[in-house]
Amino acid sequence: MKFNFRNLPIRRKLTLIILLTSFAALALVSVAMVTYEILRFRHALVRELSTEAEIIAENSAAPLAFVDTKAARDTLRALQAQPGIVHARLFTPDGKTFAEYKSFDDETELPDLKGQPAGHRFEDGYLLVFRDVLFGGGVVGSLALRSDLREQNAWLQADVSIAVVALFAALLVALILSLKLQQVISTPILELAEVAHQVTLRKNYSLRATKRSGDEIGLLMEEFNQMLEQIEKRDADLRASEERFRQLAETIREVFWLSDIEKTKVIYISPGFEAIWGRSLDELEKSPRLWVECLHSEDRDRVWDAVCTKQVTGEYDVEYRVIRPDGTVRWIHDRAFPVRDAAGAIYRIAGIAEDITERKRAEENLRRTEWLYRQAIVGAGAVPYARDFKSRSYLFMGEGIEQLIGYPPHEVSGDIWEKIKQEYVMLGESAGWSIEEAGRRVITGEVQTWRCDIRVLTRDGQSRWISDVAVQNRDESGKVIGSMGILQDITERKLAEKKILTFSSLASRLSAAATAEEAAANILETAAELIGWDCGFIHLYDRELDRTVPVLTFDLIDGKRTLVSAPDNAKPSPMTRLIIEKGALLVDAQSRASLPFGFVPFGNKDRVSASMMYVPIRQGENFLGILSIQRYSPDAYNQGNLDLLQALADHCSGALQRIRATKELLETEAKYRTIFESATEGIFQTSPEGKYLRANLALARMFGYESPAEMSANVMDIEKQTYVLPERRREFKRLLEEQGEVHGFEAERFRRDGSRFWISVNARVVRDNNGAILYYEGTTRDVTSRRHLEKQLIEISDREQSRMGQDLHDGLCQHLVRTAFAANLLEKDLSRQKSAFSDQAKKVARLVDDSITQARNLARGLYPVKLESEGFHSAMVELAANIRATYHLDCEFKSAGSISIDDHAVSTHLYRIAQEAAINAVKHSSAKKIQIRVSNVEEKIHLVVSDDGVGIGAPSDRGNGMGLHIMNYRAGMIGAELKVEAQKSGGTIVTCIFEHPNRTEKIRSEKT
Amino acid sequence: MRWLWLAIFLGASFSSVAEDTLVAPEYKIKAAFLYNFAVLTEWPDTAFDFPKQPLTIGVLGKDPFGRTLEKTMRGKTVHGRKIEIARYKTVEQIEHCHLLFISSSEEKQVEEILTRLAGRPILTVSEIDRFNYKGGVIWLQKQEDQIKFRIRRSAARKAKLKLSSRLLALAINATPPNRAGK
Repeated sequence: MKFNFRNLPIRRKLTLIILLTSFAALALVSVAMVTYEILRFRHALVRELSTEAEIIAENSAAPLAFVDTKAARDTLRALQAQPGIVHARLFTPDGKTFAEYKSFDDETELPDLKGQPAGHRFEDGYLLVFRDVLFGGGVVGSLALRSDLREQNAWLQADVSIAVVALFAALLVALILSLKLQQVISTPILELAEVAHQVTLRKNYSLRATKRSGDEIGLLMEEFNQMLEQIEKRDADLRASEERFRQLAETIREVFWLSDIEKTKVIYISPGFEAIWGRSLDELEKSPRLWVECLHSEDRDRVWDAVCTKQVTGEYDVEYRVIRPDGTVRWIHDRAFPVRDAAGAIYRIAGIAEDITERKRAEENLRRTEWLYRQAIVGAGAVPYARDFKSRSYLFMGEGIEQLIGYPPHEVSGDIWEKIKQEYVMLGESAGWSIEEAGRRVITGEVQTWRCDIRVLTRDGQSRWISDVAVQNRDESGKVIGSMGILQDITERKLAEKKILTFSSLASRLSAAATAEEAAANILETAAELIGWDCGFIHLYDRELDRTVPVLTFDLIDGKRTLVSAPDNAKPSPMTRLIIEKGALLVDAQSRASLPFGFVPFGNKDRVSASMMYVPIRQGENFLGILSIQRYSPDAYNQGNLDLLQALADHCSGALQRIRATKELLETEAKYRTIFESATEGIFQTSPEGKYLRANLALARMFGYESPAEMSANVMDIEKQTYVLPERRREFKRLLEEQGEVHGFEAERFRRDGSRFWISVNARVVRDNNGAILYYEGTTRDVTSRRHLEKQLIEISDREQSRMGQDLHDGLCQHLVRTAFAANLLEKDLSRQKSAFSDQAKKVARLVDDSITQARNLARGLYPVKLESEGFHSAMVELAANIRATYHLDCEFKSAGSISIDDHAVSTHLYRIAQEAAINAVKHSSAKKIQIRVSNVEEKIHLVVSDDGVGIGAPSDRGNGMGLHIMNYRAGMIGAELKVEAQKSGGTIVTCIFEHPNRTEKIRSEKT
Repeated sequence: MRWLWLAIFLGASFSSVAEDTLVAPEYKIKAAFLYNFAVLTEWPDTAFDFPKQPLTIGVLGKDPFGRTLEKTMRGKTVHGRKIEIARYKTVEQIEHCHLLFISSSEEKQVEEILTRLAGRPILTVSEIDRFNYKGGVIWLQKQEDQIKFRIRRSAARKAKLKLSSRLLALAINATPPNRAGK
């Protein structure tokens, strides 16, 4: 791989730059230092060697002067101490060698030193030093010294080694430092690069670089961010704009496209393409000529030609077919126009393609439908036509017209219609108008459709119904210029309509018919209309009696249908039995002869019917009777007529059945009505609101009215008008609604004249299917006399009780008091005498005392003394005390409000009711605790006696106990309301509510 | 032959005169020796009457040098003093002399001469056998064609002369300084 510094990552680049710089600097310094070292070393060497030479020269001067070579050699030999000096030589002034010294390892020849001036030089890795030898002011010789540079080289080597080591150490430090320090520069740049990369990669222009410093990099980041911001904004604007376009392009059904002029590339196409062409946008992108390949082979050349020539001129507007991959064909309407650049040159083609398959299909369907309609119309025998109002002539008239009315198309005109028209019915919009009026309105455009059923006489004299249905034909301005319509033979339909009409009118007439005769007449009349007959009958059949009941029998007498008699209540004829057995029968002259029995003649017995039809009238499986129509002309009827007649019979069987049932019902009702009307007990039906729905005479009389009608008319509110105590009516309704029925409900009522009487009612409630109350019905009995007797009985009983009580109190008790007194005296006497009987006497006295107490209690129970003397309250207090004393149980009395009662009868009855209830509780319920409460609330005295006993049975049992009965009676006597209820917690509550007499009085006076 | 070679060498350097070719080459060297001795010897201040008094080299007896001596000394100085050559016939003639070459002709009365000169700062040099044992300072002797000398340091001390160590080192009887240390 070729190394290219430029492509290195910035991190490496920085590191490398720093390292190279450091290396260069260090290398230079090292070289300088080494060089300096060398120079310094040489200088020192030269100086050292010169000093050495000086000494040698000094020492050699005398030997030279005295020509003592030995001494000279000795002097030179001293150089052995200097290892660097490898060679020394002394010369005489004439240049001859005087003495010489060589280190052992030196084998090199010294150069000739003659003529060399004093000094030194480096030569071939050696240092040479030259010096004159002076003696006594004159030169006596010269000296040459040669020193090698081994020491220097060793030094140098050490120096260089140190320098190299120092260099690498410094580079290492530089590397570490640079790695750290380069981040100051590289990190922000790399971050920036990363952000830029992310922006490119993700097209996300909302990313931002983080500015960390204020230097040029920070500035760069800032600029970069601003740039991104601008791009983002521009991008957002562009996107929004593009989004708008895209939404438009992608939501509408049309396909937008953009291409270059040469049609080699699709620049844009909206996604609607996929749905219409059935090919993906990717495919199209890969192969821009795909759309040409999709073209239907028949259209391809034409479309391509248009594409090449007309798109640039903007005239491209073609319809073509494309074939989708699944083989289906779509019709496309494609338009294109050139797009010009700023200079006005065409550089693109824009287009809109639309799927018009549905429209094409619709058009095709329309054509096809039109053809089908035409076929259908003509095939159905219908005659289409078109009429021009201006010329009042037919622009077109179907061939079928000749068959319809007998005139060929060219002859048909308004006049012909006038001539053959017999009757007509306007229908639809113009229903009810005359044909002239309707025609006028069609021409003026007031009505848009024309429907007319018209009966004509054809050229050959047949009567025929024709339906004429037409619609307006308007010109472009909307003006009515003519009409188009269809003529059709509807004779059959009219006939069917007539049947239906006849049947439906028959149905309504039958439902209105009250008698079988009426119904039969209608049926026969209908048969005459639909089929026609000369004679006919309807006979019913009574299965129970196996008798024929003739209803109507007609015959044609003197050209008129006349009602004739038929044998009444006769056994069914053989023909009737045959019909019962076999069903409908068509008899003509031939089949008549084959029948095994003769006919029962009716009407004009001289003539015999030639064609006859018999059909059974059935209701389900029941044979109700027989319908027959007959003609004197032979072969007058066919099977179709028989079917129609049977349909007629079936149609009216329901009505006949109903009539028969109604008749039976009426008879039954008459029986009951007799019972209802002649009953001695009152019978009623009343509404919950309080009106008499029905009442019999007995009831009306009971209330003092002449007739039930009079009573119903006068009594508007049973509760207010007839009840002495309206509460009783409410009680009555409550019981009915709760229990469904009520027996022996007794109440005091007002007669018409205001007099009072007692009635006992047995009643039940009648509800509809949903459970809502329809009315009450029941019977009433006048029980006034019985009540009167009962009252007398009670009064007698009360009187007897009082008398007995008084007798007990005044007679027996006084007598017992005296006896007790005597017994006490006796006891005292006996004790005084210290008799052994004194104890017994004392016992007697105590027993007598007890008897007195008992007798008094008894007397009080029988005759409430305090009631008369001290009033109701005291009497009640005494009653409670009395019960406590007599029965040794808890009985308390409480009162609230003013409970003083003026009417003695009322207080007596209330007292007795309380007494009876309490005693009942003791005797029948085994109560341990009895509460008697009396309160006066809103002018009503409430008396409540409750106990904790076993309770009474169902409320309906209450009539069984004489005590309850008497309580009821007493309550009734004073017009109070009595309720006996079982408590949930066990025990019984007897409630008696007495309304203040004044109020009752007031109500009564209002009524009278 | 060695001394011959040396004589050639010396003759060249001392720019000897052709007329001195009668003088034995041996004395040319000895004349140079005399100068060398003077250079390497320090006289006491009493030996000179005034600072710039030239150094006198005297020859006593029969002069073997001829003109060689003058030629050798011409233009040279010793310790900044010019050199004067003096020739003496008798010892009594000697007044101001610093270096005295006693010719071999005086061999018989050498001891007398030396006695007469005793105490005077005069460097005495002679070829007379065993000269230094007789009270002289430097005995020049020929040895294997080379001219060597012996020095009597006590005689030098008596004459109040300081001889350079370099001179002493070159004397035959002197232990070489560099070996003395061994």
